[in-house]
Amino acid sequence: MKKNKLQVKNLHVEIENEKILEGVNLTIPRGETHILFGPNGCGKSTLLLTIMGYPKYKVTKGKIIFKGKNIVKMPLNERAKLGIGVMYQHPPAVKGVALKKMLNIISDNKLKKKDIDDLSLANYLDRDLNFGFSGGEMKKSEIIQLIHQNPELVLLDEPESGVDIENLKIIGNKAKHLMEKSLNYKIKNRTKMGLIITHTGYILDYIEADKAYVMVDGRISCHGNPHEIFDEIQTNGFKGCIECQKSE
Amino acid sequence: MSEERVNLSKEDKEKMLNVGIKTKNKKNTGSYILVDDDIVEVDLNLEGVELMPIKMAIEKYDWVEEYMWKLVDPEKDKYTKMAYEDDEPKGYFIRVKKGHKVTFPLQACFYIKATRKEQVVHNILIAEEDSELHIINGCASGNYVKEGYHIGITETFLKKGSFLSYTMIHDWAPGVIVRPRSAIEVGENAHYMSNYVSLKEVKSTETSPVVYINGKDGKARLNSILFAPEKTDLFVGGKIQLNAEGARGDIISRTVTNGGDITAPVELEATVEEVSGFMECNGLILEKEGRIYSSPSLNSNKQNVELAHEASVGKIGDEEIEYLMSRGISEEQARSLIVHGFLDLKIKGLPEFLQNQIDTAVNQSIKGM
Repeated sequence: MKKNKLQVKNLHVEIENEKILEGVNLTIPRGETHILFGPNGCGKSTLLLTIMGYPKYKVTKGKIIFKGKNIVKMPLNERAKLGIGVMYQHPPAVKGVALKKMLNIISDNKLKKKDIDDLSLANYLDRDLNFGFSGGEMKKSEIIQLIHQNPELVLLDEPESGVDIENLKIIGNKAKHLMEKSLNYKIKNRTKMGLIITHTGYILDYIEADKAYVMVDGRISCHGNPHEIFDEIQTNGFKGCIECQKSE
Repeated sequence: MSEERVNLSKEDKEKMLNVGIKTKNKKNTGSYILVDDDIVEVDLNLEGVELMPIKMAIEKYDWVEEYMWKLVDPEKDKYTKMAYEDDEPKGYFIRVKKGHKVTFPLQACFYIKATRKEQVVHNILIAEEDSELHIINGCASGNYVKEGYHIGITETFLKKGSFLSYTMIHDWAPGVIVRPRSAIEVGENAHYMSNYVSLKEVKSTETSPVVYINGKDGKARLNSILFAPEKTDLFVGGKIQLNAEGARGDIISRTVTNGGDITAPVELEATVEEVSGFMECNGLILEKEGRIYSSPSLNSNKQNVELAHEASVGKIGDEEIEYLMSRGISEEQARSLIVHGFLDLKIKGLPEFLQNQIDTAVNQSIKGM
């Protein structure tokens, strides 16, 4: 069980020969959820999608160790099978593949009816995946897929963007439960790991995070208590973090 | 006219099943099976419907010949000429009488067993006033057939207020050349629907049905679902001529090439005011060697018409494949899911049995992709 953690070590990533991540280090122990803050374009989504295994993100140096294995060369679908799942910020529409079909495939035909109903998705089951979905519907479609996939490492890329308060509450609570952060799970029994990118910080109202990082220019510039860091960013913006990185 | 005259092997029967045809099926309301030049089954147990070999129909009714070559010009090409000069016309005559509505489909099958066979047929279909009929036409040949020709003339007449759907599923052998020549006349408030499904390897298919909507508020819809494996050349066009006020034409095609060649020229032509139509032609290219030439055209010299089209040709997006993969699905399965979804055309108004036949054919071809 000890091995059951995520370690990112000195990770360097390029997209089309452009350096995006330049030596990222972080560790998420089992049962913990971490937050990733940072200005637009600093490399947050790149980190998530590199952990997931998107081939466009080329790892030039470093390791991603998950459950004791360096997964840097593992294909996307195998990483998903190993227990990594992403809730995308802008998922693509897949014409011809209905949401229900997708849920059945990823859960081995074990549809979770209660979750579908809680998310008011019953009427969307026969619709093509994300096709013509509004921002909120897309996030619901993402979270319901993750619930069916039930990954051990849950990566959320801006779960609150484009979602109204009411829907955020439903999605936030579902994510909380998925990440074993609800009261149903005793702290010592928690095994899920999470990494969440957020700009607004709203998701922090639903999911109690253990640690937060600030990423600037492809590097983690600081880490600490999520609420404290968020308050700092809200007061002074990322200015303080940039200065902090320069002084290192 | 019995099965004893022509020996159908298990394989032949399976091939027929692939195109939705069951031999000696008591549940069917009507059945016509032509193997090479032999009619092996004509079965009809249905009030208000006539089904018989065209030759018999010509002998029985003196007006049947008036319908022959009314919509298709015998001089059109060498295949129509060949059919015109055939003294022993094969093919079927189907008539659904006034007011009779039949929802369970009639089945017709053209099957080639002998190598180097030239199968020439001429079919006449008539839906009388306020009638309804659904036909599944399976066209196939034994896989052992090295060379063969199927030439089919089909002339269809829909009278006032009638509804006719015509679903064709093809499963020819790699050496077969297919040349159907079809034309349809749609009367007032009548509704014609054709579903053309070709998903298996065939040397060459060339067809381009023409629908003439001559009656007020008549409707026609041509759907085609095409999959071209390597060494397959499909030319599947279609035209709807809107000749009466309120006429509506829709042409939907979904084409996928996995190394084969697909040409799909489709046209909507408005000859009068107050008509409408829409075409949607989407193509997917899976292999570099494949080609899709999609050319939807709109033709009108009238002002007050509503004609539009939407067309696309492309490959499956990496983004979609990767998205599915990130949920644990293999690349291969992700591709086949997307192709399946692309070809999975749900046809409004088509009886469930026929939709299931189309779905089965699509599922089978995707499995073998």
